This record gives sequence, structure tokens and C-alpha cells, in this order.
Amino acid sequence: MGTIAETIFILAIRQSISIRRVAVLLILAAIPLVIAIISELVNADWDGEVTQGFIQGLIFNTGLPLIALIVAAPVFADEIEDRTLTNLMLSPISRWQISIPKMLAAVFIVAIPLAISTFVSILLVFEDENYSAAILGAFGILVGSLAFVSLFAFVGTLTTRAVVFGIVYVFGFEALISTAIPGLKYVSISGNTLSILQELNSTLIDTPTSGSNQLPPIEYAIIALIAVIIISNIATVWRLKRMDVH
Amino acid sequence: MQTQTEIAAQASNDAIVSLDSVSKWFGNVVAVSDITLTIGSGITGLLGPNGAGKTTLLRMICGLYSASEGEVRLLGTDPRTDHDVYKRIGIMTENESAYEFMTGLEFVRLSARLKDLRREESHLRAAIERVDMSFALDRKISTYSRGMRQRIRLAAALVGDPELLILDEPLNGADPTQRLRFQEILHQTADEGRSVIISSHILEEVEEVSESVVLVVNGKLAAQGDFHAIRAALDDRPYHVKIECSDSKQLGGELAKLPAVQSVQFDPDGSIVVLTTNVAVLQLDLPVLAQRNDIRLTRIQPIDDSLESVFSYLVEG
Repeated sequence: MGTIAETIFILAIRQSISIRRVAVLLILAAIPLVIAIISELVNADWDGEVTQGFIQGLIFNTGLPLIALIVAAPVFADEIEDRTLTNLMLSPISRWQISIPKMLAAVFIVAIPLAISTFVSILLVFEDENYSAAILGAFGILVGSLAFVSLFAFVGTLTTRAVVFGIVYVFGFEALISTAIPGLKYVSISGNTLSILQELNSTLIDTPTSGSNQLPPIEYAIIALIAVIIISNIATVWRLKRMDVH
Repeated sequence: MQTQTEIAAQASNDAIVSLDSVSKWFGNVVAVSDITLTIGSGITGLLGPNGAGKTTLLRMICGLYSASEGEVRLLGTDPRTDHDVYKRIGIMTENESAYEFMTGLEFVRLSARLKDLRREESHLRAAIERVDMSFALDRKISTYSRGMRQRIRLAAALVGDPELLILDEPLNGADPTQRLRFQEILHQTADEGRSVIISSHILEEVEEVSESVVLVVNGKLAAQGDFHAIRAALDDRPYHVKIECSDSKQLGGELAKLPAVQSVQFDPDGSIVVLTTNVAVLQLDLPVLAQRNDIRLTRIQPIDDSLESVFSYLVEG
């Protein structure tokens, strides 16, 4: 017999992988890989700016938050809407025993395809088979997934329209505003994730030290991401404890 | 010798459910208003018309809703904070809240695992057999009829033989055979010394399974206690009965002489509306009276026999 955490983890995986959602997820995760393969086939000569735009703009500022949104926002929102959450809430388990396995299941679904896609894409885009950059890119996906999934899962406990909120956040803030206005990368999950990657491997992320694209210092970025993950998960548990389950 | 306070405290400790001045509102809408009650062991029916607040009350009892005011105790604890209490309870909510992608067996197994039951397989087989769903346990719930969904959800509630079953409108969507089976299961559960709280908006449904009843109307406690006493109170209330016949004037005059009839009114459409305090006596006397006076009865219709009017009567005293 599996543990309760395993049971809820597997349940959350099964709930998340509808055929339509998996198709959308795989298509989005494959986009960087397809671009990298095409550029390899046509022997495209990527300069530094294009490479940075590819990694930062496509993978970390848009792809990662969008996939995290599609998977994480419904983790609770769908269960609240179809009223299956009662099955878990009426069980003799703590609320964190419900939220943590669900969050980890969402991270698993987000990170696996996107980390693979990112790893292979970076190998193709960088010259000299830069494995350390590729592994670091996949690691960045994992860290970013944890933060984005925690945030979107919490929003899903507040409203069944979490996806709408998330789309505005992803395209409006993460992809647009935070890259255009100096300083806003400090409050961007993608910005802080990129900061850690930059510190670990400056060829993977190469950004100016000033101007609108300036990333936060690594010490700040680590604390900020840990704070997002911890606060979002505490908030989810708090919400589960206090919500009326219809 | 125990003091009154000690006796009250003891009663409260023995209670399956105790509510103390409990209210629940959603925005400006008051769903449950200042209910204080204690539910003991055995089968208790929670009765009230649609929209009376039964589901809100049950959800507060189960811990799914917080009380806006007052205190809810379930098996002596607060279910909002003490989740271990769910090990001792099987709950079937009103909504069809089963995972469509699961088979019936998987759904009941999930319930067993979430309760962390030892000898999980034997528990869930027993629960499935009890609701006669062994034939469909490997089918996906999405292929089940409404009645089958209710039964598999009941099996999930029964798994682990909980000491208390809470069932919200469990007979919705059940056919007559399933209703009988449901009633058998409830009686078996009670015979085994376990308690059941069952909600329904159908008087007869509750009458068949429970002796103790809690009546809720407009979010307030209308009555509580022995079902037969409450039923007697219902039978004694005045009823309006509309009668269509071949000679309204003559029949109206004869009816007015009956002791059970309080008043007779003649409607413009030619029918008679009789106000009676004893509908059972009227049922016996009316055909005799009609036959004796050679009057043909074409239609007899109680015009205020809805549950709402019954409950209103009880509330208004």
C-alpha cells in the first residue's frame, strides 16, 4: 500500500494529464527544441543577442511560466469547480499533505518535458556541446517550475479563473513589463531564476550589469525564489484550512 | 450526584453532533440561523424543503464550511481543525463528486488509502459488495448511471466501517429497488451500532429509515425529536382540499355539517374548497356522503400539501 502522499501525488498526476492538456504541454515544451533543430539544419549563425533572446525570452520568460500556468492553476481550481476536492478535504489528513504532493506532481509534469527540451535545445544552440550550460538550463527549469507552480497553485485556490489571471501575469508582466522597466526583474520569478543561472554560467545567461535587463544579484534571487515557494505553499495550506468547500 | 451542568456536559460529550448557536451566511444571504441542537446515536433524518439550509448545515457539521457564528462539534471535536475525526466517519455529499477517470474499485480504494486503512483490500471489497456494485467495479465511473454513482460513493463512505455515516440526499436519482437496498444498508448500519445522519426533502423517505428527525425551514430549526410525534403534529394541521363534483351546492352543505370540516368555500369555477382539521376522517366521510346524496365526485385535490406548507405550519406553530 502506498503512502497518503504517494496516493495524492499519483491522483494529481492522473487529474492533470488529460489528452488535450498533454498535447498543449508537449507542443509548448517542444517549441524551443523545434527552433533549435531548424537552426541546426539550416546552419543558422546565432549571435549572442539571439541566443540570449532564445533562452531568456522564449524559455524562461514565456515558455516556463506558460506551461507552469497550464498545469498548476487547475490543480486546485478544477477540483473546486468539479467538486472533487471534498474527497480529499474529508479525509483524515493535514491540509499540507494535500497541497505539497499536488504541487510536486505539477512540478513533475512541468519540469520533465521542458527540462528535456531545454537541455537538448541548449546543446544544439551553443557551440562545442556545452553540457554544463545544458544541465544548468534544465536545473533552472526545475527551480523556476517550483516557484511558478507554487504561485499558480495558490491562485487556483482563490479563484476558478486562475488561468485568466495567469495569462495576464505571464504575458503582461513576466514577458513584457518586467523586461522593459528597469528594476522589475527583482520581482519577476523568471528574472530571479535567470540571475541564478547567470551566476553559475555566464555563457548561458549574459546580461548587462545595468539598464532595463539588469538581473538581481544572486543572493537576492535565491532568497526571493525561496520566499515565493515557501510563502505560496504556506498560503495554499492557509487557504485550504479556511475555505468553504462547495 | 451529578449537577445540571455536569449532566449537560455529559450529554454533549455523548452527542454525535452538537451545534451551539450556529449560523452561516454568504454575503447578505443567511443560510443557517442560530441553530442549537444535539444529535445522538441511531439514525437521524435531517428534513426540510429544498433551499431550507440542510446542505449548508450538513457541510458545517462535516467541516466543509466554517460556521459564521457558533460552535460545531462532531464526535466531540472541531472537524475544521481535528482532521483525524474523518477516520471515524463516512461522508457522502450531495454533489456527484467522484473522479470520472477512475474505475469504481479505484475510487473506493482511494477512500481506503486516504483513511490509511490496514487490510485495505478486504475493507474495500466488503464495502463494494454491500452496495451490490461488484459487477461494475472495473468500469470507469464516467460510464455509470446516476444511481450507480450514488452506490459507489456510498461504498467509498462505508469503507472501513465508520462509526458515523453522514449522507446528504443519498436517494436522489435512485430507482425504487435501489431505494429499498439503500434503506436496508442504513438499517444494517444502525443494527451494527453505528450512527447515521441522512438528509432529505422527502418526508416519507426519512420516515422509512429514521425515528429521530431534525426539521429545518428557512435556515432555522423548526422541530427536533421523535419522528412519530412530529408526524402527528403534521397530521393535525388544517388542510385545504379542493373538490370538484356534479352538485357543489348540495355537497358543500353536507360537508359543512361534518365535525372535521372547519369551513367550506365555493370557488367561481364551481368547485368547493374545504378546510379540514382531520384529513383522514374527511377521506373516509367524503365518498359515503357523495354516494348517499347521489353526487359524482370528479376530482379531489389537497391544495396546500407541499412540504413547504407543512414546514411553515410547524414553524408558525
